Amino acid sequence: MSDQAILCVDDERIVLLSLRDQILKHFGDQYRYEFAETVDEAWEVIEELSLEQIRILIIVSDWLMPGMRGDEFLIKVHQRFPKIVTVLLSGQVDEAAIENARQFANLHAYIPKPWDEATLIGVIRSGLEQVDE
Amino acid sequence: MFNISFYMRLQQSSRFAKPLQQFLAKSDLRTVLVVPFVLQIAGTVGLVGYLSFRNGQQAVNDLANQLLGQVGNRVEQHLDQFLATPTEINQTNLDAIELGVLELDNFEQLGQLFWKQMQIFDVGYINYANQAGEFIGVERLETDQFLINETRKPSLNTMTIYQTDREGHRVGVKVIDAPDPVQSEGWYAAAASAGRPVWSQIYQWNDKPEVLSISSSYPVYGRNQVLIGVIGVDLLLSGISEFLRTLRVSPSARIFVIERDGSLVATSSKQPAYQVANGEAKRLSALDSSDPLIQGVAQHLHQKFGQFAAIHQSQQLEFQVNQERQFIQVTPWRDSLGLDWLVVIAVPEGDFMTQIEQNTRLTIALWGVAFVLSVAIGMFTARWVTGPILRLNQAAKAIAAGDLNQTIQVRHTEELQELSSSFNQMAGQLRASFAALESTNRDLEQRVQERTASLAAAEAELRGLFEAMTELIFVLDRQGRYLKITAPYPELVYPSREALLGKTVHEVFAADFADQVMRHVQTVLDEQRPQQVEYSLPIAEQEAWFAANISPISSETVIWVARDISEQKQAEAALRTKNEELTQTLQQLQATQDELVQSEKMAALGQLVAGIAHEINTPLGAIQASISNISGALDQAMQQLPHLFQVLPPERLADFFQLLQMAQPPREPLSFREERQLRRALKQVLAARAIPEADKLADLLSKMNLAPEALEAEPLLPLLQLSNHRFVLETVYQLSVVQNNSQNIMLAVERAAKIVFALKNYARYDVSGQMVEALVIDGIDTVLTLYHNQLKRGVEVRKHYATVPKILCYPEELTQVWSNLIHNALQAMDYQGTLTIAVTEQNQHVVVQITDSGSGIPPEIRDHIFEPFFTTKPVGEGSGLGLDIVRRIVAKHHGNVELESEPGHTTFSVWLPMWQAE
Repeated sequence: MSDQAILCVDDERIVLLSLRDQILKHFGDQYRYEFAETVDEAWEVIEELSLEQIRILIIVSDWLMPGMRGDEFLIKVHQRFPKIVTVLLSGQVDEAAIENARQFANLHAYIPKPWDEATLIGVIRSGLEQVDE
Repeated sequence: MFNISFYMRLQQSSRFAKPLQQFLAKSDLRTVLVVPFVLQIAGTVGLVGYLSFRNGQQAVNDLANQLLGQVGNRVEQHLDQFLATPTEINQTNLDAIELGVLELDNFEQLGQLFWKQMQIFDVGYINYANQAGEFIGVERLETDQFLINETRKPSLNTMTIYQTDREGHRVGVKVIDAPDPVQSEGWYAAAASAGRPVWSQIYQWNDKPEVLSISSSYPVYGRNQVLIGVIGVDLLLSGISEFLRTLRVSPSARIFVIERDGSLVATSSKQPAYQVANGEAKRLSALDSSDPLIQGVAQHLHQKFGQFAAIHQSQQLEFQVNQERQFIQVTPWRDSLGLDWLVVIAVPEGDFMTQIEQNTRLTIALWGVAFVLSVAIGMFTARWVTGPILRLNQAAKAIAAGDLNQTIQVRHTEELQELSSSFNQMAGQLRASFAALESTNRDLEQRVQERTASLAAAEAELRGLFEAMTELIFVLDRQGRYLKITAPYPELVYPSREALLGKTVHEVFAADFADQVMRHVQTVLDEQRPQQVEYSLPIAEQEAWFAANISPISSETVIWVARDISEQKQAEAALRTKNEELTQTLQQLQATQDELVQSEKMAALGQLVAGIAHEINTPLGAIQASISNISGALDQAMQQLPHLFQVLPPERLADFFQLLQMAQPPREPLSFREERQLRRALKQVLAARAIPEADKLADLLSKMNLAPEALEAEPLLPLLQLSNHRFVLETVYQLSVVQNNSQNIMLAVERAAKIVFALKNYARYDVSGQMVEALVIDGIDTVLTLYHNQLKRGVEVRKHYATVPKILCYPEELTQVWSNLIHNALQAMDYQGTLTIAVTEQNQHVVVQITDSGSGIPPEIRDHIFEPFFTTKPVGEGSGLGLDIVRRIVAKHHGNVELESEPGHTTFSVWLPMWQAE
């Protein structure tokens, strides 16, 4: 099984389910795919993967979530894992938050909801290329 | 006759005395007493002083003249004596020569004789010279030593000088060159040529200019009147000056002796009588003397007499020199040998007047003391005498001014004592009279005051009555003629008092108004009882209204009392208009209020829409994704199915469908965390079974929600034993994806529907105005749905809903209540904290309590928060109407709102009465 992973974080289960099927359809079993419904759960997954020595390539995160906002979460991730490519996916976000993430989390892309499958896949693909470099 | 002349004198004197009488009449008693006294004393002392001063001056003049005469005599005597000395010596020596006692050739003897004579007489030089040019002389030195100077043949151009001892013997000797030949010297030549005794010109010694000398020379003739030689005596004129200085005439007096040409001979002044010019001493004229007094006197005399030579007699003069009066005496002095001098004595008056002036000053001082003393004594006396009189005067004035309580004590003179006692008696009588008078007066005054007071009261009453009347009063007769008009202000009468009086109504006013008035007058007169009417009168294009009371006074006259009620009428009209306006406004306000409530609701909705967009977009995104997933999965499955049916043994077909059945998503799907745990468990089991690609299989199975136990049983166990089990399982998964995504779409649609429903509930505006039965909780949940995305950021919502029945209410309006309260709560805690919503049933009320954990509402604004337009939010964020609307809506439900607030705990409680439909 792949030792590289893609992580999606969103408090909406329906969103995560949709994401899973779209990503799986395009990338098949090239990567491992993980999904978390809260920021806390996301951190659990990150810990588990690192225990299993699986490298996270990309994190796609919602912005408006209970407990912590997506830009803050991505900034924390970036501080610990600077190589992880970060993507924000949200139906409501303010410009300041995006700018914040760009500045402190090296944000790769922001995808507004409802999202287009091609856009999502394109963003992930370009993110992965960035990792390969 | 006597009487008449006396009377006339009196008349005359009174003519002069008139001003004096006037002065006295105007002056006070003290001045009258003091002034004559002072005038007397001052006049007496002044006169005595003046006379003594005049006497002094006279005495000084006499004294000065006497003194001048005496001094003049003394000087003359002295001059006579002093200037006689050389003559006497020469005469004695000449006599001795003529007698043959003295041998002129015996110079030894001559020297002896001359030396002796020098001892006796105070002269400077005694000498003899002969025609041969021989010379002998004895000279007096300043040290009172004597020298004998000799020139003898043959050495006529030398002179031998011998010093002498006390006996006159020649002791020391010194030879010098002789001066010029002796025959050419003045003293010798003058006498020789005159042939008689002569005085020489006064001359100065070349080596001692201060020494003035004069020589007396006698020619000596032998037999046949042949000139043998000349004997001479030199007199030092300085002796005269010394003498003059010894005369003490007065401190600054001057005595001087001059020749007729003015040259000074002697002077009592210490100033030199010569001047040195070009190294040569020259005698001074008195006119040029450096002594100012001498110079001044000399100049004055010279001026007065033209020249000194013109003074022939002794004269006494007085004139001003150097701003001071001088007493002068000038006396000619002559002798037989031709000296002709003037002796001048000048005495300044000041020298005598010093004492006189001192006396004068003393006199003035005495006069001053006498004056002051006399004034003081005069004043004292005057005071002593006038004091009681003045007191009497003051007392009399006081009595005149009304102060009768006067008593005078006088202990001076008998007359004054009598006067004062009479005065006191009179004052006592006056007091008694006045006391009696005063009591009568008081009585009278009191009565007058009482009368005045009652009169004033009556008048005030009348005036008050009159002033209180604002009515116009007319008296009219049956013909409508104005007989009397009374008005508090003339301007109230229209057109004017003058225009109405004596005229009939018809003459003044328009016919219809006049008819109206006449009708009333007729009625009142006919019925003989009062009538009240209201009528209007156009005044200055305005309708003036009056209310009038018309009463009959007699059978032919009425009194018409009218009051202007125009303002009252106008006010009534204005009030009516205002009332109508108010009613209209009220209606408008009610409409506006409903609009306001609705618009506030819409405004709040507007704020929500941004968040709601996210709420809608989320399910929409999921739906979009799921649809493409379904079609993708279906495509894949369609491709795989033919192959599957080829590879799948027919006996396993049932297992395949059974597994497909199992892979259907449950109503409550696993969370992703549960799915991960499931995957881990599956992987362990599969790995234990040494099944290849265990992790991929575990992944696949976990996504289909198949438990590890399923691995041990049909349908999965037989399927796993197939060689191409992974292909089979993947096909199952692809088909389950369709199911999963379908379910996902369903969930998303439910979410979207719920939001749309909430929005629809919220925005609904029920115009029926009918209460309906509804669950309060539904409304609250609608609002919570709409606020979902604002809540989930950082707010924990705790719901404590008790089971409460439906109540009759206006559900849409209540929704607005919850929305306002929840919105305020969120803002109060800045979207971070706990929102607690409790619904309970208490005392026949449904109570909804919405509590936030914000910082609380400060006590000072608690009373204001329900007021319309009160807001603590920045301009543009809040309308300030929210809580006002809450209060109104709750009041419409006959409920009430309560507030409890402390930091961290603010609760709004809404009490709604439980009315239910019957």
